[in-house]
Amino acid sequence: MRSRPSRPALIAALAVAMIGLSQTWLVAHPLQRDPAGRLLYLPNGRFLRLAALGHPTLLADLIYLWSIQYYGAYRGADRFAFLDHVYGSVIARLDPRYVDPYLIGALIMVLEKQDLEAGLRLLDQGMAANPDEWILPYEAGFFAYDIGHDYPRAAAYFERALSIPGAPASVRRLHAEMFNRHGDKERSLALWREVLRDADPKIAAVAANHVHDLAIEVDCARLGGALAVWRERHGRWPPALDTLVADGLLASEPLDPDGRPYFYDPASGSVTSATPFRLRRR
Amino acid sequence: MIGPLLAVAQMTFREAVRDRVLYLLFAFALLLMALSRVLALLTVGSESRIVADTGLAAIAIFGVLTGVFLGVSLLGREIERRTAHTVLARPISRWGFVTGKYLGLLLTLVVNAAAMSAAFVGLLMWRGDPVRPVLPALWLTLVELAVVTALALFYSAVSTSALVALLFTLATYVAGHLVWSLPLLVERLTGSGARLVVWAVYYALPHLDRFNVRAEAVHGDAVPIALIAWQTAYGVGWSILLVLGAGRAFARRDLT
Amino acid sequence: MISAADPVLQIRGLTKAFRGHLSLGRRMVLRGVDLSVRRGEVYGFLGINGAGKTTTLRIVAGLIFADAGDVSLLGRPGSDPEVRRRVGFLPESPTFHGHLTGAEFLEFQARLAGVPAAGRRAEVERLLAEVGMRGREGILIKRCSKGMLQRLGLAQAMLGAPELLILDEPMSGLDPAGRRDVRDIILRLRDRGVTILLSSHILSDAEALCDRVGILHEGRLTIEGSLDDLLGGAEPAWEVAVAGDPGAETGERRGDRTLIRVAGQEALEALLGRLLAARVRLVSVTPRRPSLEDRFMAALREEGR
Repeated sequence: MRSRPSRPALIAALAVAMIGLSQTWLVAHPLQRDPAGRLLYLPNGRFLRLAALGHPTLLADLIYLWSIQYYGAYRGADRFAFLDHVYGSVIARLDPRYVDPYLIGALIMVLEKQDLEAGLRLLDQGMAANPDEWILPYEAGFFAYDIGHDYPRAAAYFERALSIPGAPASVRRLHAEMFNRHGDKERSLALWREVLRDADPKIAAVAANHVHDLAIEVDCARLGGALAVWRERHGRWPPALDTLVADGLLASEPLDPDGRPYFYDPASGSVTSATPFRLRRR
Repeated sequence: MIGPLLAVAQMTFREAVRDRVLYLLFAFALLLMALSRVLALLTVGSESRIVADTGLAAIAIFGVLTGVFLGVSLLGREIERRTAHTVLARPISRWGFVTGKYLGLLLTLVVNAAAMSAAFVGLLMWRGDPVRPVLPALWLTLVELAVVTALALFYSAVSTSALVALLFTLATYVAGHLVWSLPLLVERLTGSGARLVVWAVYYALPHLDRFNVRAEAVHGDAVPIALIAWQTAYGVGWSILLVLGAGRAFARRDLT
Repeated sequence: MISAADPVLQIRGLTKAFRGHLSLGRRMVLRGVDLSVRRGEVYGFLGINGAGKTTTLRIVAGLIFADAGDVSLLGRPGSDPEVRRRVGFLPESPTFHGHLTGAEFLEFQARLAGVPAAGRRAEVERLLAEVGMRGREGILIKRCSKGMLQRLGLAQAMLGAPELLILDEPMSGLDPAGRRDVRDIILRLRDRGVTILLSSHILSDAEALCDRVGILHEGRLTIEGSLDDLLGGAEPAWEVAVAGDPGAETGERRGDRTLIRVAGQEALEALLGRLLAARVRLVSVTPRRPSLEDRFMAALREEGR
């Protein structure tokens, strides 16, 4: 090699150029790929315990971590293929007391897959295994309320959460509000009155508003009911609200929360309050 | 110079083919392929995909192990046991010797990978699964083997102990598969000194994870020809560089 | 081109130090060795174990790099790979690829040596016969005995009809028959005009084979010259063997014989007279040259070791 000492150096330079050029191209044209791998080696039900090899909680952790990557990044059309299985079967059976997967799994099911029932089922499963975790019924109640608009169901969930020590104060308010949304104003008013009684000053203002408006609604409803009965009997609207009192349909004429009498229009039979609502009514 | 080089290559091939480790690893690969159906029973993935993925992974893993073990033993052991002395006293340069060794090794690996691939493709065809999608993965696996073997050769030429060469090769292999995550690390680092070190490592290591297109193969996605071509060029470039480095290191070594 | 009188191998000022274990300390092995081997001679490169003979020969073969000094082979610098076509090398205690048979190994070496494909088979068989390995060439090298390996090593060194043969301990590992065979081969090669540089730590081997010797001691060539120069010019010595009781004489006992050494014609005659008078039974009277070993030990004593 003495006669051409630069030959190895030339070849080395060529090799480095090849590496550099190809690296540049490859970085500029990456494969569109799913970064977290796909569901090839997820254990099925029969194999679960074996797959854990004596460390079920560890396997649950690993699969959970993988699932977050997977569902966070992968956008393929089949990404929900084994969603129930991953969270409800694999992780939940490997480590039923691991709470985060129930929450995340339900989140994905409800918000991304848009399958509320599946999400609530998963949370029910979590609640059964973890009766002392308020967060599970709380989340379920929230989904039932916000996504499903199923207020009685939400109320049931919130009530369950309330019975678990450590639940935040907001659950009571949500619970109370559910009855309002459902139309059971009286129950709602009663619950809001409880909230008002126990609340700290900041919350008291909010609760007072609810109580105020609900009281009006309850009164209006009651007046409306009495008016309807009177009209049944006499075929027309009564001339004034105290007619109802005289005829024994009302114990006394109610006053609105600000102490003013309700305004009654005998022509249409409608009752409104002189005091405006404090909150936007729904 | 070419004549002795090819003689060394042929001899290396012959010696490798007579090494029992080769057949042991080949048998393990076949075993794994055979067991892939069992694996499919135990998981939720579809059976075709698992068989394809396991087969490709077996070829990759056992191919790499073969390349590493043969690469280290065929050069390192030869220096340690002094069987290279009579060869190097001949009119062959140190470069020629190293290059010849590499070519012999490469031929062995190609034959080995081809045999494993034939078994794998046979399995796929017997099952009625598609064969075309796995071909790019097989080819790039072979290119990766060429690079890893060159690594083994390089470390054998540089270090005095075959065991050290083996460990360094395996470590570089693992690092080469993880190096893609370094840019993520850089974001979290403060201080230009630390960042410089990370970038230096990033560019000094071969990015072996790029040779893995098994995911695409398994799911039947197409891999662009351009990508295969450039990836091959990348692998060839690294192989050449490593063999040159091995030759250079070996050229200055005292053989006691 | 070189002329017949130019040295086939010339070493000048060869210096080599090895780093100790874990880079602690340096061990000077060669401290400036000068040596030249003339065409057609058999040169014995001698010295005790560890003197640096193998190191020197490995430097000549290109396996090790000297710290200083230069080597020229057949007029070309030692680093020129092409000149190695004309040089054969037998390393000390050679090891070869175990997976090959003897014949396969020699064919491989022949190919490396540049023997054309057409005559390769014939050349290999010729050499196998010459070193006494015919009929055993199909045995795997890992199953060969040391003696067989030595013979194969010699055969591979002879491939391609080299002009210079460098043999590091060619007799090691051989039984007496083997040693005699090797000796015969070396003498035959010399008759064909091949130059041979061989090393040994057994001085008597060198005496039987070499034209010139050089003794490497503590990194330098301390004694060099032809055997006649080194050993001749001394007084003739005799070794008288007697049987039974030697009477008043002293000597080395070997079984029932005694060997009495005496130097000089007069001393011999006086001894014989005494023996005859004492009726000691004479067995033989043998002229004895001073051995190389004697010469070497004397030289060491001179150096005040």
